[in-house]
Amino acid sequence: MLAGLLVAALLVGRFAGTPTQTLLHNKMLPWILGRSLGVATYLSLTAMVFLGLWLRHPWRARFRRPGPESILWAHVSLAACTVALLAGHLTALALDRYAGVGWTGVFVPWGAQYRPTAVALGTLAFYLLLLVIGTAALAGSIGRAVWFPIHTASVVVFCMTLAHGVLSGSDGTSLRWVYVASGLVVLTLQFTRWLAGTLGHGSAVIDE
Amino acid sequence: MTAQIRIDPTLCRGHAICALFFSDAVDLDQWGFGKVAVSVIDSERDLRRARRAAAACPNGAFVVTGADGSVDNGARRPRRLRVRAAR
Repeated sequence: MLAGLLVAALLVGRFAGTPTQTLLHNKMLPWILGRSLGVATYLSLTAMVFLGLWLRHPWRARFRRPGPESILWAHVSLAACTVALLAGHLTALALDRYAGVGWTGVFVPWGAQYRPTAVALGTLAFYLLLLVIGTAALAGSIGRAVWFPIHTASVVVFCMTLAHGVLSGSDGTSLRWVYVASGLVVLTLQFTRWLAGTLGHGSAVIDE
Repeated sequence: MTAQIRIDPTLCRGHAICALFFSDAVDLDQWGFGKVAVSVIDSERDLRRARRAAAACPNGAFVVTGADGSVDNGARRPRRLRVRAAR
């Protein structure tokens, strides 16, 4: 048992220790963290928007699993996860001295020295996301007339975040296919759901 | 002390939000359409949860009927109503 733990510790130290040391002493750490948390936030946001659209998509009736309750819980959990990752993304970039975003760039649109318009898209998406999630959290108190129309702006938040990632990310080229695939999936889902609602087939799935 | 809840099947679009707010009283079918499992409410706490579910439902399908006949489907901002004694 002890020998096993020792071997495991040696292996972890050998393979993870050196890269971790290099990263922790890297002057670019806030920038690296900011970028990686930004990508993680985008992926979490994409999954959240996907599940929100899927929850009331006519194609969902063809799949028994996951059930609507599980989808809704995952949607809500991903909202909390997105907010936490976003807080990390913003803090890391505000503390970073390399790119010149700073606290002003994080919270004031067009306040960043680094690609001001691209960063401003992210700042505006951040405020809109706070509005969408905040009103959804208060849905039972403020009523549907307020929270639901605001909630439909989620796709706008997604599009702004996608544009922010593509235009401001220094690793935009390597993540190109992630952005293209996620953008296509979410927009296709939104369009087909809208089409089903417009043609009046949205609630006809129960008859299948 | 009673109030009643029901889900209007003609309005329900399967958002499943009522189950998020009042899971004890609502069952969902596989498409997410709600069915009321417990239709009679006899506590203030459950009435609050029911009214929150009614307010949150995007289609106004979740309906709470008070003992005095007042109907709340979340169209207005929920008031602090009391559960009254049934006649």
